[in-house]
Amino acid sequence: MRLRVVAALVACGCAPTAAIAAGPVLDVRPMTAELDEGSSPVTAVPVRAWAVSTLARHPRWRADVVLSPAGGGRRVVLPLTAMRDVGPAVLFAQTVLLPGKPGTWRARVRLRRPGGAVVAVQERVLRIAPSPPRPQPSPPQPQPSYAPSYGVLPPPPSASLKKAPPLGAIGRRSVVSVDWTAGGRGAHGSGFIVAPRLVVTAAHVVAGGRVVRVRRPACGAASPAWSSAAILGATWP
Amino acid sequence: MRRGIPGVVVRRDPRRDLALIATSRPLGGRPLSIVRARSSRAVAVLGFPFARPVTATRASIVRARASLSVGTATFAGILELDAELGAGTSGGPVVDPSGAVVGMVLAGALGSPESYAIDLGSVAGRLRGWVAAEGAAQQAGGAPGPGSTKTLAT
Repeated sequence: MRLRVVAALVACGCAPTAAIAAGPVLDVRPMTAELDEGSSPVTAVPVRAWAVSTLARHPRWRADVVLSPAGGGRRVVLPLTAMRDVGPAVLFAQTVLLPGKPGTWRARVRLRRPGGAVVAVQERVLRIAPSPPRPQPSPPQPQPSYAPSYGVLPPPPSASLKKAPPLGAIGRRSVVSVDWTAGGRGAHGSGFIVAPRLVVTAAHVVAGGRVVRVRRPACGAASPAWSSAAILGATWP
Repeated sequence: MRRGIPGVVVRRDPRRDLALIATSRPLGGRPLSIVRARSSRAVAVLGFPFARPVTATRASIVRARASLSVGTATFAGILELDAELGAGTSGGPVVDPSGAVVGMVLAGALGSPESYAIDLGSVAGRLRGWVAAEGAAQQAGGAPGPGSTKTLAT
């Protein structure tokens, strides 16, 4: 489902060092899923390519997006990153996640030099429509029958028929964020737990950094240490 | 979100875009298993786009590709997904309906529902070796020190 942003570009002020193209509209749409039950939905706003291409040309520059409710209130500052280590041909979709509150927001994209000076600013006004109501859960589906017949036997239950673990539980228990900063550089990425003290992540996330910080979503108390060998034997193919 | 636990990168494989981090203390989470992906199978991508709360995006595996060239880098063993992912999802797991990991997020096309993951089923043996070796080192009490990262030749 795609919602159209009604209001468009408001202003663009920029320094001579960075030419900034202004896009007329942005498409705003809800994220495909949220993990934490009861949490506010978020809205993904694709940032136009100029921010990504500018960052690719100036690897030491930094960019962020400042989101402010039009009627006043707490503002949110989100960093923008580009996947510089593998070149500009394929980059991560630059997406800003807004709180799910419908209403009007002002979004300022700021590009900064390494020293902190803002070299370019672009402003937009985003009007977010209310999220559509969540679909009601469908009634339980009948289980496959295994009654004997005179024909071909029904197939055995596949993995998809098993009760899938909730994505929220997987996210809270097993997915981590990975960050590092050093010498004015840094990156943010994700990873997942493969042993009590071991995390797999992408090499490009930690390219240039060796000491990182790993975070889990807030949840219950830390579990006691496991045996890596037992985990390997129990869960790995 | 917790404040975080320090970790050190102890293994890297640039060709597969894989890295293994050893943390200074247990994370208190639940390790995920890794299985081989089935084509045209529904999956979910988990990660922390823009350091926001952990997020899941439903997707399907469109096809398996032998390699993907991105700029000057070429990665082997790729799963193509039909999801648009936010920056910061790199390294996040691609899980199948049973909750097992089939891939790890590599990259996404800008502004389109197209993204790529490393097929972890094809490197499960290597990962198992990494985890066994580093897990044994941790149980022996050896904390990874500076300069101890092992990088595979590509």
